[in-house]
Amino acid sequence: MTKRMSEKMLSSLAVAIMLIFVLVTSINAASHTVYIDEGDGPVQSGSITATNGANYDGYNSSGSGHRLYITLQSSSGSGWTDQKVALMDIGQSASGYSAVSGDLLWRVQLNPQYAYTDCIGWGTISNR
Amino acid sequence: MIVINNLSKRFRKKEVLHSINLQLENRVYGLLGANGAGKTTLIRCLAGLYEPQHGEMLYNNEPIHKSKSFRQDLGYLPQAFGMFQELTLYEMMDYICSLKNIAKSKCASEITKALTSVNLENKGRDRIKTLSGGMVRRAGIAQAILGDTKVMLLDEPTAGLDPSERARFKNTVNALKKDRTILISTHIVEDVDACCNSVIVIDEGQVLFNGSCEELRNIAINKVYMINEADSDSIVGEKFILKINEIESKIFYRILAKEKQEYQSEKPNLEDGYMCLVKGLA
Amino acid sequence: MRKLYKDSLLVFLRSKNLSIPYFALLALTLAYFGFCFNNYLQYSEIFSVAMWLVRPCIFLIAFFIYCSYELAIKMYDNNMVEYLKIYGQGLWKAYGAIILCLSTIVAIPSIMFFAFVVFMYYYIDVYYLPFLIHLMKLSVLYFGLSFIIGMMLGTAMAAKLKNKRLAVYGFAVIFMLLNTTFTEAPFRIPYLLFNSYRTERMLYYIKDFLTVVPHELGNNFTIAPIYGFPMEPIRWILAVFWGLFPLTLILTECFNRKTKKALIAASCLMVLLVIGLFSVRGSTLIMDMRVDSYPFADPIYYMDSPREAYDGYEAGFIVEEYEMNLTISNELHAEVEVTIDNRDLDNYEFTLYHGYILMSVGTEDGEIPFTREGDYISIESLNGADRVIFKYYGKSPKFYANRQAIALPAYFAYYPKAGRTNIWDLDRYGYVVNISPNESDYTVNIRSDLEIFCNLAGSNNSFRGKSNGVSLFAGMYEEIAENIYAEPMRSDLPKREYIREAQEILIDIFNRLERPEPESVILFSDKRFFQMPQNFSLNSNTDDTVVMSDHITSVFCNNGPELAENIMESIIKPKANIWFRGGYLSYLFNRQDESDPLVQSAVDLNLLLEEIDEWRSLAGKFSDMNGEKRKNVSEKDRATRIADERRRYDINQIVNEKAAKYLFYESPRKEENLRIFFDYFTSESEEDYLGLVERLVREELEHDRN
Repeated sequence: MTKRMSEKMLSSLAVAIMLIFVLVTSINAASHTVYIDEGDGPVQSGSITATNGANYDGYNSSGSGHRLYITLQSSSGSGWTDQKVALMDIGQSASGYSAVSGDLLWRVQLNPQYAYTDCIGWGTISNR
Repeated sequence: MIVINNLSKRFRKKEVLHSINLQLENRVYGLLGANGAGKTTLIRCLAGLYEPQHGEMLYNNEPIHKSKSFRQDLGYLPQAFGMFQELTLYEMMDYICSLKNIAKSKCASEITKALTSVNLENKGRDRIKTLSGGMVRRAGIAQAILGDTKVMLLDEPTAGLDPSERARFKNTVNALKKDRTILISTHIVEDVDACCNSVIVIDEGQVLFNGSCEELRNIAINKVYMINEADSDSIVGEKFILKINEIESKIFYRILAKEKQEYQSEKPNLEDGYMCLVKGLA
Repeated sequence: MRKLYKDSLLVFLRSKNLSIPYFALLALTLAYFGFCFNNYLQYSEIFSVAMWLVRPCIFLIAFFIYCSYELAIKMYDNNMVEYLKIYGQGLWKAYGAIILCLSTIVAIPSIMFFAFVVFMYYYIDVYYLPFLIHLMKLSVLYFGLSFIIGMMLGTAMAAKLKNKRLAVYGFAVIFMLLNTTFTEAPFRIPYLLFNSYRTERMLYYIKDFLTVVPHELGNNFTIAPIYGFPMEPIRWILAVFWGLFPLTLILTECFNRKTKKALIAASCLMVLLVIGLFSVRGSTLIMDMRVDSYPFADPIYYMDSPREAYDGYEAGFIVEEYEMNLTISNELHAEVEVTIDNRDLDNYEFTLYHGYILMSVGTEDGEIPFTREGDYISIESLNGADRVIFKYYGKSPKFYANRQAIALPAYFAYYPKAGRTNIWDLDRYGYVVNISPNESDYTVNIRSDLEIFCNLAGSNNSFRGKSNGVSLFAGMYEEIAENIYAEPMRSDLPKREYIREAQEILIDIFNRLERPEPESVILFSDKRFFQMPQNFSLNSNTDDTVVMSDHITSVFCNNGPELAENIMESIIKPKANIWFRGGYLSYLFNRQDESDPLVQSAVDLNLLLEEIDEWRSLAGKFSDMNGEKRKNVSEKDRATRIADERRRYDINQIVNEKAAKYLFYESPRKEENLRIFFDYFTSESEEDYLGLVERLVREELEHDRN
């Protein structure tokens, strides 16, 4: 029991340090927006921290050449995991949320379909 | 005894061996021929590595591909021979004993006997990679001896060896030839001369000669001449220059001539007889 | 043979280019176990640890290809093959010894992985036998057979390609890359060139045939505990094939012509057999970026199909009874008999997901003609019959049903449903919740090796009852508490107290809203609760929580308030933007973050109205945009349009959040506003929500002025 508690304390401390680091480096990071322009490959937004999941919203401009993926990703510190993926047609938006709980980092990624680099779009991540 | 009847072997459209007929008994045969004559192909057919298109090969009156005794009696040293570099010589011989299904109880004695035959008895604990080229070749003969083989096929066994190694090889063969059929394929006439009782000359897939060394030499009797360079044009009929020598700043030609010439003929050697055959001057 | 094996082992151990990297690999493996164990200590997620464990699989396989090739090629490098062949099966004995030696070499890390997974199982203290069996199978297949595949491939390449090292390592690299997500980029090229998915499908077919890892390097999709790592029968068949096929290639080198011909014939037969089996592999879980994958198959299919909306479509008949006989083996095979109430129609329409191939439709009198068009079945007159029998088989990329797991929720048309309903909602980007407004009697019999859990009463995979839909789940899935079903290996398991708490919260909410609870929500805490696999929300925003007449399915159930909110989300229609709707719910459930500057500061209503006007005028500019117009617009106009879109997007979130914050938190009429918007969200009204927002804000401004 004591061993488990100290493990939990250690892990909580690690998460806390990580959170502090993230908070310091991204001030008022309750939401982040990322833009993708022509010539860009996959782009990621800055990260936010959340315990109750996150909302995302994205838009693929009508000026884009092709469809655009928006991916909502979370990380507990051991790599990014895709929680939501949506494929936005030209001129279409996509939005949603994920209710995965826990002290997690969240971000969105925009990625043009196939190997194209002619998309223009926006993606936003925010706390739920 | 090995009997070869009407053996032919083709690779795609090219006929490499054409109606070979031979009978091999317990002696040392030299299989002599130029590069591409078909020596290695014949040896590989005998070893069972190639299947001929026509003909048969019999060992003690049994087709060799069905004969279990032939497999047990056969020792083969290919032209390119090697062993696992990481093993010791003794371990490698032991490995081959396992492949040859030699009884465990006999392995040690067989290995000792084989290595002694090739003067490598002190090299048993050495790694293969530390052995010289000549030692590896002798080790190749040793593996061909393992299991008290009765038939040995040696393909170009002296290729790449220095003169002292070649001399040692010849001594080894001479020590082994008792009660064995040994077929040595080579294009080096001196090797045949030094250790073979009989010679088989093969050219373009056909046997041109099968007999003793003496008989091969005699083919060139009264056909070999040593003449001055200036006199070379006076040779009548077909001729072939065997060698060009320089003696006291004068150039002399050793010539093979089909017709008798006015000059004093030289005593022919094995190479002269061979060249007579292959050049069609016999 | 023992001697040969021993000597081969000596050769391996004495070869510095083999033994040193091998021992280094063993040491690295131990260190990696430490890393994985530490990962578990930090995050307590066993599947996350398992994913880390399988990630370097392909590197180990590549290493064993290298080891086996370099060991076997020594026979060729050292010119041994020619004289080995003359001994009775000498070359085959030599190869056999090498294979045995290599088997020992790969067995050691295999055993290490096996021991580690078993250790982790006992360490995590969750005694769930199916999970232990799953881990053992994972070890055998991916840390055992896959390593053997690497070993056999390397040895076979030595036998066939001999000293052509460039070719050998080229193949090895290609093989490795085919087992990673690296292929995503080059596999898209055919679509770029030919604008067709067919070539992409063919390339992935080849890739799947060569897949020897459970989870590709670079793949960010999670593993659902209900399914675990993919270990369908076809994977085992392929593993055995890739072990045996190289063996036949090796044997062809060792034997003479007659035997060689027989071996070549045998290997050709083997290839044909496996390709045949592979082609009928049925339902498998594909979690990657291809067009037929779990995340993208349906969105892309429906984006590319003609857009038809069947909201409010009236079937004209009701299905009174379903008798379903299902066989779930490599995929779903079904014979479903429906009893309908109206025999006199000229035409009957049913919805059945397009992935299921309809073999026949019949009545008691025999087969009847039908038309299959995408997700729809059209039948003409039944000639007075009231029962229709559908026979079909097939699969869905997302709602899998095979020997490993089953996840068929009631709202998905895996059996024929009355009328025409959309399967996919393009606007909301998610699956349409297709549940009948009426209950039907169900008799469901399922032949499957798995223990299936259903909302209906029954056991031994036979169920009966009345409901408006049948949900089936199986795999690493259990009844974890009375009437609560979930994946036992999941960390966020639902609890009865959460469900009861959610019920109480919703009662309070509806009291606050002064509205009656919808029928489906009344006493929902007594209904069976099925927790859906977590990654079910991966590509859908519409079915996180679905309440049916006798059961609930929900992806998340972390606590009572969250479940209550998810249920409310499923009740209200998604007519508004996510920021506005999210704001509505957070204020309705008093979940607002009091430290948020938006919450702390007052909303400037005049500014809000201006921003709403600006947003609507920007939105109005693009309302008639289509592909044709897009192509014909000038460069200058295009740049202007993009700038307008960007401005609209930038103000979108803030406008909606401010509007929600004011109406539902700051306004003196916030309770009234909550009720008004609840009515709006649950009605069929097509009024634009921002119009309603504007109206309410102007009313309040007017009221303030007065």
